[in-house]
Amino acid sequence: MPDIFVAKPELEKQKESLKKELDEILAAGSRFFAAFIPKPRNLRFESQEKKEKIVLLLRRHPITNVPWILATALLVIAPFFIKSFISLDFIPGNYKLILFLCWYLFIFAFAFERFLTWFFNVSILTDERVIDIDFPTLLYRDITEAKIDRIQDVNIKTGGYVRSLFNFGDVLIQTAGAVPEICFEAVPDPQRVAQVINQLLYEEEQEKLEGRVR
Amino acid sequence: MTPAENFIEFLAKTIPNLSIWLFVKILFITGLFLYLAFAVIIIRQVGLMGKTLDGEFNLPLKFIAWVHLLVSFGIFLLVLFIL
Repeated sequence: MPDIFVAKPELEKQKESLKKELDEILAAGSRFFAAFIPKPRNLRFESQEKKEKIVLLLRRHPITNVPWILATALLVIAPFFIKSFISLDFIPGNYKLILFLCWYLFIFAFAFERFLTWFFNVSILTDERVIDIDFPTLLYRDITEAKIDRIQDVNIKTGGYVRSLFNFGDVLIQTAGAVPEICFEAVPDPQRVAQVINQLLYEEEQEKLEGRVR
Repeated sequence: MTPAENFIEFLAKTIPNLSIWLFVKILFITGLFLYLAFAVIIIRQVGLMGKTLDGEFNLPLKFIAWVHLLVSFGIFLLVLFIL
């Protein structure tokens, strides 16, 4: 009986080398402050399909948190400086206590809110899609996504003193979908991110050629 | 006299029978009441964020948001009772 389908050894080899290449690129990523996380474990996003695997999870580079961390530190020590400049003796003790507690409550809320914004504003690369999740204001979310095979172009935008020093920048992904552009803002190692996207795009093309499209 | 003391004295002289500290207490109560609403919104926001991106950090973050609400409520009660 003639064989209907025989796996071509060349294709198999190519597939293996692609996988290896992608793993190498991802393995070189740093887990520093978890802003560049290859193949994250125990993590799922809302619209993730059963067979879909997260290849890379990105957040803004940790250095972008420095302004609000500094602001928080200044606000924390501010009462001690104010005390030495202005006499607060005219305020009754119980009012001083409440003022003190409210001040630190507000600072905590400010820092917590900023941390949440950083932590949950993520860009995700899966083996099928690119997804950008943003929470611009309270209780409002903005999710943009595009299929890998709809990607047309990947651009990197770096430059500036801080961005060059800490190696982070924007990755702009042009798509043929409803959303013409997806931007991964201030992500670490944008060069490597672009490499991973290109690799995924190549893999997707290979899958199409082999007729394994999901 | 500090500028703040001058200001308070000026207010006390210009508006007769004004208790500045009662006014401050009302301000605190109103502010903290609004803040409690904000603390509840933060809990809902953490829930929404956790639903969108479900990871192992979600539980500690939810816990922090609840502790924040409880502390805010504690301060609100403190304002009602000690001021």
